[in-house]
Amino acid sequence: MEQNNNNNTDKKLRQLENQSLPDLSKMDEHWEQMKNILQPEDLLVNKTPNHKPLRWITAVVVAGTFFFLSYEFFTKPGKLISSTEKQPGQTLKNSADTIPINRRIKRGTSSIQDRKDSLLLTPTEEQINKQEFILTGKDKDGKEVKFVGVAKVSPKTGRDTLILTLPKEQVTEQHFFFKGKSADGKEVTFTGIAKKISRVKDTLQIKLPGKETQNTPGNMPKGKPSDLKEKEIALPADTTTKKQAVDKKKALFDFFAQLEKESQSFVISNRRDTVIWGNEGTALFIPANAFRGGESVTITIKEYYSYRDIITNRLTTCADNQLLVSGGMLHISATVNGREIDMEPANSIRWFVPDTTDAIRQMQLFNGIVNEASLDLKNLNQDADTSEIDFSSTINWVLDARYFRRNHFHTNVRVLDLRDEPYKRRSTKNGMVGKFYLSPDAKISKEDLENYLLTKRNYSRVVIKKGTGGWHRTGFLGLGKRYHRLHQEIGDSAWMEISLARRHNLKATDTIVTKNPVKGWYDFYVYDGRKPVQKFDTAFSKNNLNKLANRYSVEIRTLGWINCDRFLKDSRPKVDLIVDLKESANDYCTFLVFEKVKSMMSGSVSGNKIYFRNVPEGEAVTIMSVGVIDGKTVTAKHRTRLSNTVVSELKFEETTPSDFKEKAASLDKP
Amino acid sequence: MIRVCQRYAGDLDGAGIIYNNAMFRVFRNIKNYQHHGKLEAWVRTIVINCCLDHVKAKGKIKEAPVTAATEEISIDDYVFEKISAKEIQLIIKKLPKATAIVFNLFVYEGCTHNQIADALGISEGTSKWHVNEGRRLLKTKLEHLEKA
Repeated sequence: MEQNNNNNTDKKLRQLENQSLPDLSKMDEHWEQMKNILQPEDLLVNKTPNHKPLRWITAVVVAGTFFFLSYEFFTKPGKLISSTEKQPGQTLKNSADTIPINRRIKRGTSSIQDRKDSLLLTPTEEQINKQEFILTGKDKDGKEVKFVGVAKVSPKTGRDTLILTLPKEQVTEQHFFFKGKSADGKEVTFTGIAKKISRVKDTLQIKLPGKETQNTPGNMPKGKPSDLKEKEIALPADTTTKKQAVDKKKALFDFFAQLEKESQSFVISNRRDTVIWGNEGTALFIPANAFRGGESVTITIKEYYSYRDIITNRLTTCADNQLLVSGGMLHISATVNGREIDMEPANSIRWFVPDTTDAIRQMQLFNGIVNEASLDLKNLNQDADTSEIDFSSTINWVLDARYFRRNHFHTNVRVLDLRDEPYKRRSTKNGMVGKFYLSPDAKISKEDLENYLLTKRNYSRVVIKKGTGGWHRTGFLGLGKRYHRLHQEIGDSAWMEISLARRHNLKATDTIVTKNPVKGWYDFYVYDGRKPVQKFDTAFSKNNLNKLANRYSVEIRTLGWINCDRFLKDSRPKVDLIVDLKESANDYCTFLVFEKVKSMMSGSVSGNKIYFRNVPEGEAVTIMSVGVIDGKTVTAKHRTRLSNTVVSELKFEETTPSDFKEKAASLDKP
Repeated sequence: MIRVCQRYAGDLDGAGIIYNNAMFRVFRNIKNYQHHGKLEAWVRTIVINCCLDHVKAKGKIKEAPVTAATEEISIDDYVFEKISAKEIQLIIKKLPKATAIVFNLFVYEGCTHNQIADALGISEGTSKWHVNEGRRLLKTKLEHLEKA
């Protein structure tokens, strides 16, 4: 039994420690990666000790291959030189649809040949405003080549470069002549040189040979590819597409503007302590002279404690891509005559969150940094490049490393001080004998006190001396040693902490709340009723401050966005959830909302897809997405569990701001 | 790992020295890592060994008075919901030094009394006494939370 109790205590201690540790589950995985980067060859050699003969054979084979290839290149040039160099006429003859062959490049980029099926094209002057392309051509052997691909504007380059993703067709050549038809039937012609631009993606970029890019295929420039002057020509702005994108973003912005949380304003005096109460339970204790300049200060606050407010105001809970669990967010600003002011550096405001559960105990303060671009879409015009604007991500949280604590305010009570604290106590065969000092301002007579101590405190005999109104010194003086023992006089009324009064069963006649804890010589230090050691903050309503006694609070030193958060610690494996919206995801505002904890994240957008990375597997979430289709605002709400899957079955339906707010509110726990 | 070092060092500087030595030892011996078990556990073992070296370098732990068998010391579960790991560590740090070291080794590192006795050059009885004393003092310090 004893052992079990001890084990239980040890186990609890270990659990508490483990909860506070960072997630090291990926340490082994990282080590494997690091090992491979650092010394793959050495490790291989160590593991396979006897490879010398094999290495010799490999070396001979490689050398033989090299000599054979060299022979092929230098003794039979006719097979190797680009068709544009050797047989321009022939190439140009079939030119309208011909893709010239350059085997040298083909060999040199064999990896591209094997895997590539994408082209990154920089067109010349032809503007491409449709997505589907059909590319037809003939290679040198006369074989028909046909590519059907989908083009899109590259989000990274910001230019009107097209990336063609070609289904299952291999692109093996360096020179390209191809003719395309856009969906509206318009003929488009491209000429250029393909170049591998990425080691990873096997994408080809067409670089154009200067002014001659407008050539018909028959005018294909001569000479080696390397002689051609590489030039990238950006397309003139595609006004139609951009206008649509801007319109969508503006419509979304207008939609969310209607849902913006209303602010609450308070005019306070900067010369005295103030407590502000928000509609949703926020309490702010603002000490005197907290702000710079101005006597009358207007405080404006916005409270975000529910999913209804967090989702509709797009407040994600991420700190540098690490998920946070929120206990509520707040925006505070202070103005004097319409001009924003800062706090005094030495002062601080105390934020009391409405949640009184123990969940707040692990929370810390985070300050928000706003992504201005995502908020300020009012000035967008048709020429604006909206591709870089991540509309979903509005705020990033930075740890302020201050924990939320209870008991900032202390409740003290006025009692008749009848504590059982004699200055001398002696045990005799008849019972306990106690000696007390009676205060000169006692509210109780010596006889009554004696009766009280004999009956209620079970003394067999009490000795009561009259005090002098202060502390008393007892013990021996002189002869090398001095003993000073201090004792409190009893019988007078006094303020003391409510816990101390309860311990001594003393009845409270008055209650007051102070912002400073009772500190002193020892736990039993009591404020003297006649000479208060510390001035109480009597300016506030006692009832209001009593409400704050059990609230969690934190000190804030900067205004703006603040958040009560903790990092989401989850030992489950991490997965990547992908949401496929089937059209440009950048025009949508999509969030992942966690159901068990208050946490919301925005993913990274790539094409039509949104990636939510490193999320705990199996967690129940709701995907909320808002977009604009045909000028109407639509929304989708999809429940799922996190896994490495692609979610593409989002059902969008028309919505209004109030409808969307209701949907968001349905995620709040009752 | 720096938190493990902090448990055994008096201050952050001491923890830094231990951590530095431990990491030096880790990188010097990484080629000997056998890929059995987790890397974290391997590194942690080295860190704890460095901590013990540091403790030994500071001086020998005295034998404790022989006392009766361990008494029952239980702390209410509710207390652990009201206090954070960091606060517990602060309390443990304020315990007598030898008690804190033995208590940490027993509770957090999972060492047996036999192992602790070997590592610190004390008897098993002394190790048991320190762990029990640690529990008792911790309970005393957490009493106010039990009452609240």
